[in-house]
Amino acid sequence: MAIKELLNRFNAVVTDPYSEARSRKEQGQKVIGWLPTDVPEELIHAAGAFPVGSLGSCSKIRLADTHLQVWVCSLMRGSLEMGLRGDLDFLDGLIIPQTCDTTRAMVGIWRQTSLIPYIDSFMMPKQVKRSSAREYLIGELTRLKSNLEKVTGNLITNESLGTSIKLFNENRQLLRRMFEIHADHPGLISSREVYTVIKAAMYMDKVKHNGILQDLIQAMKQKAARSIDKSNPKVRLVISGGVWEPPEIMDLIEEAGGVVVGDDMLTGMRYLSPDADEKRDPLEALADRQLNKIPFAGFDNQNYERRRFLHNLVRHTEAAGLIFLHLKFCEPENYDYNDMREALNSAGIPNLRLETEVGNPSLGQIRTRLEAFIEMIGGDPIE
Amino acid sequence: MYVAGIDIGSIYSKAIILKDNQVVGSLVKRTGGEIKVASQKLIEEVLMPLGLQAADLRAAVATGYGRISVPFAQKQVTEISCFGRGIGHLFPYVRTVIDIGGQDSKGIKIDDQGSVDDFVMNDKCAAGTGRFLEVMANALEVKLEDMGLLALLSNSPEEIGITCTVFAESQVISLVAKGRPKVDIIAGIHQAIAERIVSMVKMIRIEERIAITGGGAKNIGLVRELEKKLGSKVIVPEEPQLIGAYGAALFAQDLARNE
Repeated sequence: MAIKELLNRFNAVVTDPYSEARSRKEQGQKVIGWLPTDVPEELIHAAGAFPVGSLGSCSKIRLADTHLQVWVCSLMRGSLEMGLRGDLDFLDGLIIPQTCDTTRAMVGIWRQTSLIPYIDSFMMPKQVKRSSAREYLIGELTRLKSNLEKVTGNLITNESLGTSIKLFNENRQLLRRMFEIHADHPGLISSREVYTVIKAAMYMDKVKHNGILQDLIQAMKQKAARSIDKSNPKVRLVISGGVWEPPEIMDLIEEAGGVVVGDDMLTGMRYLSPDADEKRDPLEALADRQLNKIPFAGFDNQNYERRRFLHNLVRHTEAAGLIFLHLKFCEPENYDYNDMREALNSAGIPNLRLETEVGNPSLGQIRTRLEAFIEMIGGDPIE
Repeated sequence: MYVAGIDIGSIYSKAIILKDNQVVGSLVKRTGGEIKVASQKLIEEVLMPLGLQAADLRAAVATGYGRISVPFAQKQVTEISCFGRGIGHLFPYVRTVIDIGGQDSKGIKIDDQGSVDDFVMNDKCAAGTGRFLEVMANALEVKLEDMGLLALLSNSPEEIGITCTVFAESQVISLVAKGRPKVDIIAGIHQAIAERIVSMVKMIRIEERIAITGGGAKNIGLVRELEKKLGSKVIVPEEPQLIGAYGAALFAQDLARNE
């Protein structure tokens, strides 16, 4: 199948994200949703339920404002709006991870306003390098596991969890493979298409996603082998932040002459890496996967790991600069920003911060900033 | 060889015509209405005294927020690069440009060629922009162009908070109601705007010398207040509003030479 047709299938999923989840529900399967980020989907899957992400991509906020202060980010606001509108009433459960003050407090609002029968909070250790973090996390995963068993009526065995881990690892490996091909041959598919494939994985059945993804990788490889012109005039960029929303921002980056070749986004690399160890006890493997994820503002950064990570990422991907996509009112990102900017500046890496809102596509000023940034790092604006 | 630089701002549109490096024509005009039509009128009007038409130009570069809607321009360059280029050409020793436009204000760090090293721009908010001054002038029933001079007449400026144009406006109205002298209120407004702009530009580490451009640079009260906050004498070009168009014209000249 041609690349375009394969991409259309992922695009259709992202346009109508809950059709698969709804049809699972109609067939009698339990459906458990999750909010960003880091909820272990493998546990949901191993309990025989269908895991589905809720990324709050909702533009008109009317109901959520009654329950939230102005300084709540558009990601959590959009998700709650969908909940209040009844868009997520088909869910048998919703897991809300605690990554910041807002997500911590959202759980209570959801419990009081939603018809979803099971709403749980997943409390990850903030200080991932503490020696107690692993033991604590295994305990928390065990709690989540037994709650999921109660909700679904299915026991999660080491065997079933092992099988789920294998399937999800395969998905992550394939996504990383696709990303590598894209980074080596930018332009085969657009930056937005690359990230749409990743986002689709959060809504789709993983077996189905893996199947189409394998075909896409084949098609990309063939196209890469055919194309003789290796020179790509696009400016290579890394993006850093929470979510790449609104999606039009990816189009703007490309229209301004850039291409995204690396990231640390929740709806990007943080979703794809690392794998869980298939040879270990499965709960321990999930805990280790969580603790070994790439740095993220929501969790402890005492050793300035993220500074080094971003610096290395830019060097490794041969990017000419880095763009922070910070959600308005995202406290963890905004507090860390100065540190990250200082680190990049002292390494001589040009960087730009854009403030974004989920569901707000008024991007005129963002376009000017992006174009100016690319004119700045791409050399002469006239060439 | 004639080339044009066109800067379509949110309130004013500006044009510069260069002939062999020399400015031979310039025009500032309210943008108003549809940008495509406005930019056509602008170029016709600036070229008329020269006996030329748009077709006679070797190259035209458009900048400003309306840059994508200038049909006769071959290339669009952001105002950030254009302000850098324009100031870099006129004042090669300037390292920081503060541009105060109608809808946004920016800080731009440049090298001795006028190439941009870093920049910062205000977010979707009118506080700290020309629009803010316009709203305040209306609230005080004072002409916009008189605001700057009036600010200089005050000995005890009022404290005005400037987190938001709407809040600041109601604060100003209540100060007027209390019978506070207009000059003190106006001086307070200028202090607040200058504070807002300087704290934003500090993000890119201000280096001397500093130039002020855009319509805001024509306001003497604001310029003096900025100098106080920056602790440095600033450079104000003769036609601060035309610097973006001038930079665009210099890029147009490059474009014509590259062909």
